[in-house]
Amino acid sequence: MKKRIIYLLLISFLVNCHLSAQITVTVNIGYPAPTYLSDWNNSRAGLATVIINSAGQTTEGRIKFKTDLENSNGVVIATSNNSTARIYTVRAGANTFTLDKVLQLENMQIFDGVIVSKIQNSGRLPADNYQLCVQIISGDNDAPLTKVPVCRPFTQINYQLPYLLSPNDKAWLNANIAQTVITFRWSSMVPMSKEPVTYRLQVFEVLDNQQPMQALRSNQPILETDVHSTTQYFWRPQLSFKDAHGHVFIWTVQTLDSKGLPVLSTDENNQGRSEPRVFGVCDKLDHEKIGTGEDCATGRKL
Amino acid sequence: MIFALSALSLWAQDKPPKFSITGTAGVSYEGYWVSTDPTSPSFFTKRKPTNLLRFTFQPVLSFGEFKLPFNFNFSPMRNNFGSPPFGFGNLPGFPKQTFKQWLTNPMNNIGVNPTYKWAELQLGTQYLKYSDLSTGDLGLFGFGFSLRPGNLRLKYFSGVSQQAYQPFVSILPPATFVGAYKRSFTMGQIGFERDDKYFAGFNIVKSSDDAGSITTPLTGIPSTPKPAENFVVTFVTKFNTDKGWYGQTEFGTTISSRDITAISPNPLLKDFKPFISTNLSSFRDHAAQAGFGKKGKDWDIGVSTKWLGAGYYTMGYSFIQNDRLEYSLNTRFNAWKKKMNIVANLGQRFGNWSTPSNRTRQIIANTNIFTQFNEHFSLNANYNNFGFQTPGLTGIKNVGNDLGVNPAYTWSTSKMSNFLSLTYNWSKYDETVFPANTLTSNNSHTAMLMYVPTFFSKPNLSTDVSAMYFQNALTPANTKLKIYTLSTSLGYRFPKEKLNVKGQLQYNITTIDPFTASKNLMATIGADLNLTSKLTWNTSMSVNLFKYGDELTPPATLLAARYMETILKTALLYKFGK
Repeated sequence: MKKRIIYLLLISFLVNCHLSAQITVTVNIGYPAPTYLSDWNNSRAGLATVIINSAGQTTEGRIKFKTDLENSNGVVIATSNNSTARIYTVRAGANTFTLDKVLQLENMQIFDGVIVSKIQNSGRLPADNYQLCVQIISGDNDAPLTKVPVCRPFTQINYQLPYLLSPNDKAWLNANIAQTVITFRWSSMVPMSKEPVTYRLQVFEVLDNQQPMQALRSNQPILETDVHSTTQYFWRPQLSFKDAHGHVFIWTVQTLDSKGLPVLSTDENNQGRSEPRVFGVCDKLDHEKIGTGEDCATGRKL
Repeated sequence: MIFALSALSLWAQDKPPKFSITGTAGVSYEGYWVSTDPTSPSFFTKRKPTNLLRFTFQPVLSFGEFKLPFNFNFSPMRNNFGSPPFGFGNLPGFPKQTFKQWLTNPMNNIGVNPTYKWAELQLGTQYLKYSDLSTGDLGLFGFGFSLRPGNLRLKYFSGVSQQAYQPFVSILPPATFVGAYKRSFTMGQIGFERDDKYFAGFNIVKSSDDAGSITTPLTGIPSTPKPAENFVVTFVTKFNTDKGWYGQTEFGTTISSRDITAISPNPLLKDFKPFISTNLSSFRDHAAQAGFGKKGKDWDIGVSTKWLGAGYYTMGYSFIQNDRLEYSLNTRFNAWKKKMNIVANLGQRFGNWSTPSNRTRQIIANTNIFTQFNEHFSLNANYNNFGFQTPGLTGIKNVGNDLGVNPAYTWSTSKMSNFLSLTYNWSKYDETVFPANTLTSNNSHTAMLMYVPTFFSKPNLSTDVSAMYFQNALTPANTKLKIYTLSTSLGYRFPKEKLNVKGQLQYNITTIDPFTASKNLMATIGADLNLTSKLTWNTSMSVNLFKYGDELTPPATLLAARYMETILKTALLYKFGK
C-alpha cells in the first residue's frame, strides 16, 4: 500500500513538474473593470487564458487559481483560500476562463473591513486602482505550477449616470415660449469618462389617461437625439402647444459608451437611462399654482 | 355597450338613486405623415408612429355602496422605446406581440376595481404606489386587494410588469435586441391609518425575473441582462395635526441579486429567508427620507431630506438614482395683503455619496414671486440656480443661473379689453465639456411680447398675437443660435351649433452660426363639436413645414432640404351620467 501511495505521489510530482514547465497564464481585464463584481462573469469584462504547451502530448491536468487582490499601495487586501479553491481540468492548448473564476469571490478572504462593507452594500469594489495577481497551482497538492504570479492592474470606476437639471421636475412651462424652444440640461456622467460618451436625449409625450412612466415605457419618443461633448440641448418642438388642457412630457438621458453600448446601471433593463423627470406646457399659466404640480387649466397633475 | 349602460342609467333615474354610471368612454386616432425633399439621403427621422389608435372605457358603475370602476385604455399598436422591445419591434421578422405581451404592455390598461365599503379588489392593470421607497411607478397586471376596515390597512398584490421577450438579431438592418426576462412582483402592506391624521405601516415587496423565460440568452457583446431579484421592506409614518403640523418618514432596506443564477452562498451576505436567498451577486443597503413642516392659512414652510445608499434598489422604481443625499427647505406664503405670492426652495443634493473623491454637489435654489399690484398690473419674477460640481482641479462643473421677469398689463376701453404681457428670461450655463475638460459658457436671452384683445361686441371670439426672440451665445467657441418667432391664434365659439373652432399660425426663423437661416411655418386648425350633451367630437390638423439653410451640407443635395409633417388628431368622447 505504501509503495502504491509513493508511486502515485511520484507520478503526480512528475506531471506537476511537467505542467509547471509548460504552463503560462495571461489575464486581460477591460477598462474600466466591470462596475459590479458579479459582472466579472461576462466576457465583456475580460478573460484569463491558461496555455499548456504539451509538445505534442495530450496532457490533461488539474489546476487551481491562487489569487491576490492588491490595492493601489500594493497591499494585499484579499486572498483566495487554496484549500477550498475550485479545481479546473485543463487540456493542452489554450483554456479560457471568465474572470469570475479567477477572482473567485466565493473563496476570497477579504482583510479590509471597508472593502467588505462596500461589497456587502453595493456589490462593487470602491472606486480605486487595484491589482489582480494570479498564480496557477496544482489541483492535487497546491504546488505552484507557474513560478511567479501574473499581476494585472485594473481600475474600478463606479459611474453615476447624469442627473437631469432643467426643466425642473414637475415644472410648468409657458406655452408661448415652449412652442419655440425648450432648453434641456443635465449633469455629466460622473466621474467623467476618458473616452467620449454619447448622451441620447429622449422626450416622450404623456398622452391623456397615461401615467408618465407608462408614456416613457410605451410611447415612441417625440424627440430622440444624440448629444456629444455637451450637456445641453435646445429643442425646437415644432408642435402646437396652445391647447387649453396643456401638454405633459417625461424626459430622460440615455448614456452610451464609446462603443455605443449603454453604460451599466443597477437595473440593466433601463439601458443606461437616467432617472426621468416630468414637465408640462401650459397655455394659461396660473402663477399661484407654480410649484404645486397642478395645471392651471384642467387640474391635470404632473 | 356604451348605449346599453347609458339606457340602464336613464331607466335607473326614475327609481331611487341606487344605481348610477359616471365616467367616460371614447376612441382617439392620431395620424402622422412625413414627406422630405430630397427623399435621399435621409436627413429627418419620423418622430411619431404613422397610426396611433387608442380606446378608452372608464365607466364607474355604482349600486349603493358597491362600486365597479373600469379602467380600460388600450391600443393595438406597439411603439415601446423605454421598455422591451426598445423600439426594435418594427424590425422585419420581429415576432408579433403575443396576447400576454399585449396585456402587460405598458401602453395598455385593462383594470377593474370592484369596491364594497372598505374592501377593494384590484384586478388587471394597476399602478400601485405604496410609498416613495418601496413600490412603485410601474404598471402591473395581476390581482390583489386593499382592505380598510376601521383603522387597519391591509394590501396585497401579485402581478407581472413585463413578459419575456426573446433576443432577436437582425442582419438587415443590423440590429440586436438583447431580450428581457419576465418580471413579476408580489407586494403587501400592513398598517394603521386615520384618514388625514396619521398612518404607520410596513411595506414588503418581492420582485424577480423568471430565469427560465428566455431560452437562449445572448452572452456576447451586447448580452442579455442577467435575471435579477429584489426584496424591499420599508416602514412608513405620516401625520397631520389640527394645528397645521405635518410630517412623514420612511426607512427602507433592500436586498438585491443582479444575477439569480450566480453561485451561492454569499460568504459576505446571509440569506433572508423566506423572502430571499442571497448569492454572490447579492448586496444589501438602506435608505431613509423624512419631511416635516407647518402650514397656516397663507403660508407653508417645511424641510425634507432623503438618503439612498449606494446599493439601495427597488425594481418598482427601477430608474431611481441611488448613492445620494439631499435636503431642502421649502416655503410658500402670501404677503402684502395677499397681493404677493412667494414660492421658494433652497437645498443641496450630493451624488456618489459613498465615494468622497467623486462626490458631486448640487445646489438647488428656486424662487418665484408673483405680485398683483392692482387690477391692471401684475409682475412675476423667478430665479433658479443649480450648481453641479465635483471636487478637484479636474472636476466637472455644470452651473446654471436663470432669471425671469414677466410684467403684465390689462386695460379696457368701452369696446374692448387689452392684455399685454412681456416675458424676459436670462439664463447662464457654464459646463465642463469633453475631451479637454474645458469650461464653456452659454448665455441665453429670451424675450416674448404677447397681446390679447377681447372685443365686447364679439364675446365668442378669442385671439392673440405674440413675437419672440431667443439667443444663445456660446463661448469660447463664439457661436450663436438665434430664433425669431411670430405667432397668432384665433378661436370662435358658435353657441347654437355647440361648436368651437380654433386655429394657430407660427413662423420661425433660426440661425445657427455659421450656417444660413432655416425657416419653419406651422399651421393648426381644429374644431370641438358637442354632437349631443354627452358626446363630443374633437378634431385638429396641423402642418409643419421646415426648410433648412445650409447646415446639412455637404452633400450639396441637402442645401435647402425640406420636410413636411402632417398630424391629424380626432377623438370621440362619451360622458356617462348627468
